Amino acid sequence: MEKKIGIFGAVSTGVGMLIATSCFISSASGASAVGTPFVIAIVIACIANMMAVLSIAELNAIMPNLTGGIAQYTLAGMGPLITIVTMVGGYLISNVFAAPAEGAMFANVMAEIAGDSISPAVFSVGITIILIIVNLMGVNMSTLLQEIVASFMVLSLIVLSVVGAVGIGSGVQVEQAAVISSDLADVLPLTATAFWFFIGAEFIVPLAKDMKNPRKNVPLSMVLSLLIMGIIQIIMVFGFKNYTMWSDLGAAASPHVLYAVAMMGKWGRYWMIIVAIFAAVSTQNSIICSVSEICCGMAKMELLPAFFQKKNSKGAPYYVILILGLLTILIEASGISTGEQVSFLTLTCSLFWMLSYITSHMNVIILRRKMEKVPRSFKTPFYPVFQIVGIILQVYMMFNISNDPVQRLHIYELCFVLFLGLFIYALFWVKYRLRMPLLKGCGVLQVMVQENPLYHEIKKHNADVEC
Amino acid sequence: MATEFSRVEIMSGMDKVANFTEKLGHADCVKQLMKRGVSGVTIYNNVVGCGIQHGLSEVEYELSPENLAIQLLPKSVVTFICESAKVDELIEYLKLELYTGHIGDGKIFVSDVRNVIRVRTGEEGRDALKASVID
Repeated sequence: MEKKIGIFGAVSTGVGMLIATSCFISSASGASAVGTPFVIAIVIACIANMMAVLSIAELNAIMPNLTGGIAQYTLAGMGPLITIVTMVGGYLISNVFAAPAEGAMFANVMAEIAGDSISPAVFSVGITIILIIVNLMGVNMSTLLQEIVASFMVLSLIVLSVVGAVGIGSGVQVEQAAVISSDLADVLPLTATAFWFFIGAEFIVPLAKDMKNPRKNVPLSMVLSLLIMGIIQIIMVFGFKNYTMWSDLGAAASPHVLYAVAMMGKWGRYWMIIVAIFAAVSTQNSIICSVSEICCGMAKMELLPAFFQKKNSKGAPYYVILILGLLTILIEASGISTGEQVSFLTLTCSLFWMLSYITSHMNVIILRRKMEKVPRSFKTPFYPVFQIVGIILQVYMMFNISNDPVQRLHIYELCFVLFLGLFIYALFWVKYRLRMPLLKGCGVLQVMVQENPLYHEIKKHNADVEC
Repeated sequence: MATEFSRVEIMSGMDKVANFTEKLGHADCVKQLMKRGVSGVTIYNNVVGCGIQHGLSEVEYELSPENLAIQLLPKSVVTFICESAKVDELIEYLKLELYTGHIGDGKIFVSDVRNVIRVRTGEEGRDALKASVID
């Protein structure tokens, strides 16, 4: 079959995956705290995540065409206990926080139109229910539709940032100091805030089997996607400086609407409504699809109970969709709407994601030692510099997850409870159900064999015969 | 004593070799091989054999490695002769081309070649592997 996705297609998909309207909360929060020096934090976060995707690209080179992604790399490198704790946390729980964050952004925009008569939660819960039903019916957004939505989002972000930074919007520019604080002690902790712009580039990896020259294009497209996103966000900070007062920006529940209206008047508002609808549908739908796939993959590897891969007559993994949907609705119904509340969700999600990136770096180090001679079509340059620096940067961001000590404490408390729960589940599951060594890597071959559906059929058959 | 030439033989499943053979139809792959001192290739198809897994599939081997019955599978052998100085570089290239991480990626055997003679012209050694100067 002819491979169709070239570097351009891969990069546009990558940038599309990185973009979400909740990014505006992060950029507004960071920019309103220190002004234009926030770009330093953006650059550092971008570099940290480039290091992470390079490690993921190397792991993909050792174990190509796996569906479970980082979960399978971790199983091979660090064993089932850490895989369950970091992957269920890193991808499943973090997405449980990411989905309502996007729903809240959508709800805020809609609530501004509807006025106070309807609670914002009605919009976010409503859209989630629609997406749950659509996914349960087995209807997937076509690739073309996803590309159109992603292109619209990318284009919107580029136009918004460039028009604002150059100062050619129809609105009135504001007079304010570009720099609120240039003290590195204020700027550097904001790398954790900027981290949110750059998560998700690794979802390019599953496209590898349909890409032209994947050995070169997988790492290149991930790095280029991050670079493009970084440049757009840097330009956006200068746009904010020209059209919105820093204080208003920090306090806004929908900073993108504030900025667009200040720059383009009522047309900016209409534009943002379309962006909000597209973004909410596209992001929440992508989350439901990708999390379902990861859950099925992990259940296939027996890291999660088997019911996670049960599918209905339409081929939809209904348990995962319902669990994820209900958790999302639960958080949305709690009434999150302010920028601070959305920021809490995105930062909590970021913390889990940072942990999964640390795991990826460690997997590379472990597999370089364990399987030194395995051919790798892509090797991270300057090994182990990127891995060590990458881990240090991610740990630094985890320790500075929020500038607000109260919010930081709440994030840590929530993460501690969730990780403790996951650890206890993983401990019992691995010890008594899987009966595997807790911390010993499974080996690449075993992980790759488990991809084959025949493996599970034969294993089940053998078990039945033994019984 | 190290010889000037080496023989590099790939023994692998016929499907895998067929994939590799298909790549030989592309100029880029041929260029890569020529850069590594390869001027020709010989492929033996329709041979049968097995390795340490006794011909079991990856899944069967993983689940019941104690099964000793031998099952011979269709295999191919690809032979290159190249300069010994470039053999490591060639092997690195071939390893990357053949790697999938699954059982059945095959093996590469490297052995010394004492001499090469082009029968038509009588040229020997390095001359026999290059375009003939006599023509």
